[in-house]
Amino acid sequence: MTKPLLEIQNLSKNFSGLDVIRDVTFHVNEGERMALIGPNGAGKTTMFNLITGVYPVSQGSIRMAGEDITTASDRSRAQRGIIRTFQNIRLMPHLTAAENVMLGQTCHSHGIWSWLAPVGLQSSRSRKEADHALEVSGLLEYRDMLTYDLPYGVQKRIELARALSAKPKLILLDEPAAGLNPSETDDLAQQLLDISASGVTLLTVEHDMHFVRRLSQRVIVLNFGSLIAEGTAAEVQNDQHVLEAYLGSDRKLEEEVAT
Amino acid sequence: MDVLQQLISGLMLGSLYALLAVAFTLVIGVLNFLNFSIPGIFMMGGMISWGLMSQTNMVWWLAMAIALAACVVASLLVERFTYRFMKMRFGDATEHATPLVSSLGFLILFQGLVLIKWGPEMQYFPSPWQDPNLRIGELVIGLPQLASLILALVLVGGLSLLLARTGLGRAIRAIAESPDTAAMLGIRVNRIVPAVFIISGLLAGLAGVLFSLNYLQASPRMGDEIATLAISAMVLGGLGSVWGAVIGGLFLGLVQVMVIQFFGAEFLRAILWGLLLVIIVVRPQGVFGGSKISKGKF
Repeated sequence: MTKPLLEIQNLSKNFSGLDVIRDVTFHVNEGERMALIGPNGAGKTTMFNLITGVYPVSQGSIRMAGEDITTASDRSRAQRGIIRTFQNIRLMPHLTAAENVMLGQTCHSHGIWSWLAPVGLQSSRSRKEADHALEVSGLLEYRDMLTYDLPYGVQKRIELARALSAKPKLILLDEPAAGLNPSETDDLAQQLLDISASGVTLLTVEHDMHFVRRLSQRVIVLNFGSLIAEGTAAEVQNDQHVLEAYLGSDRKLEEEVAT
Repeated sequence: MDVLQQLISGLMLGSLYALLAVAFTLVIGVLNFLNFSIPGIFMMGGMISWGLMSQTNMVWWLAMAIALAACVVASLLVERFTYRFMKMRFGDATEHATPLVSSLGFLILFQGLVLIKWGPEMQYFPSPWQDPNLRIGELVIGLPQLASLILALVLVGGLSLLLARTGLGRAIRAIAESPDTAAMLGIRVNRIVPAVFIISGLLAGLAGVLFSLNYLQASPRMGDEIATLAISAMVLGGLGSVWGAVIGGLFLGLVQVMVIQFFGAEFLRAILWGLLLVIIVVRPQGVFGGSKISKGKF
């Protein structure tokens, strides 16, 4: 069970001379719940963008389940089971909730038939899967609604349902609790623990340290693009480098770290 | 009876505008890209089928099929060297005017090639039918016109079903909303975008063939005026709205025929463009368009 699923090796990224990620090495084990934290601008979202192939890496390598995916396409990464959610929700606003969830399945579809198959029909397999995904997330009532005017919390849950419908091995969650109220945050944490229990590996970027403590077995800390600490939530919160990185840079976390 | 006759003619003329307007609106709706090469592809539909029929004595249906295939290839070339080129070079082709200008270059290129091959003259387009008219009582219905109307409605109906109900359609709509997110979800943007150009090129080429069949003529400049009307039809219907483009096209066809009937051909341009101006001032997003361009397409 402690086989590494995602391996980041000496990864660097610079944007026209500015080093955003500097020589970062870490790995996420199969089935693990890991968190990636750091002050604003530390490179957390950039790290997600490198793992999902939005940006080409400058140096280093990324391996998924032992295979090198450093230069793989977006689609091939999705097919290998790397699926993400976004800091600013990225649903398709003028598609219905069900259509959005069905889009998650796209990375596994092949051939001309999958293009022309009448996926909108109630009886189609894809539609049934989407209905099921919505049902287990308690979202069935929103099935045929366009997503743009749904409440923020509901949109976040639809995005997670879409991620799950891709049958992921590793879900990258970019600030999943941001903007949620305490009870929604609590529900989300429970749902993520359930997802984890079903064998999916989680890598979470999050500022809410209560949430991180509850969810994550291991935490890594980025600052100015470098990895500065690794350990359990309690360990990194008492780490001298982490305290220095956060002090004065983010009051909310400063208070969190102090407690 | 006269008005009914005009009504029918207007709808049939409008169906040509509609086909071309849909070709425009599809590319705009998905890629936010006004593809100016479409009038050139329309013209190639007419000119190539004329060339094959009159110069090699090819049977009409084969000539038209080959012409349509050429239009699809031309449309794919445009995709490769405008949209995709910008995408590969700058990571994003939708925020730049460059594809628009390059597509204008393709229009000039297509017209230039046809001019070199066949010269600038208007050509007589041979009709495949002995008597191309259908008579119902006193009404005269041109077979090519009827074919245009039926084809336009069937194709657009099929297209909107495709967009609404199939995996390809859903992928196209997802790309229209956000190409980056679509790519990250594993949608093959690099294959779906050419599919959009294939459909668009096919519609434009077919409109060209039908235009030539209707008026029994083809020329290297035949796309120029009809393209302005098709773009107007698209704007009228609302950018990116497929049925809006159809209704805009039919409406313009009707207005055109009625103006000629009741006011005379010399008033056509003044009334047609005046009316369009008024509509655009009153409802800039078009009759069926959302309040914001590039949102809520199809």
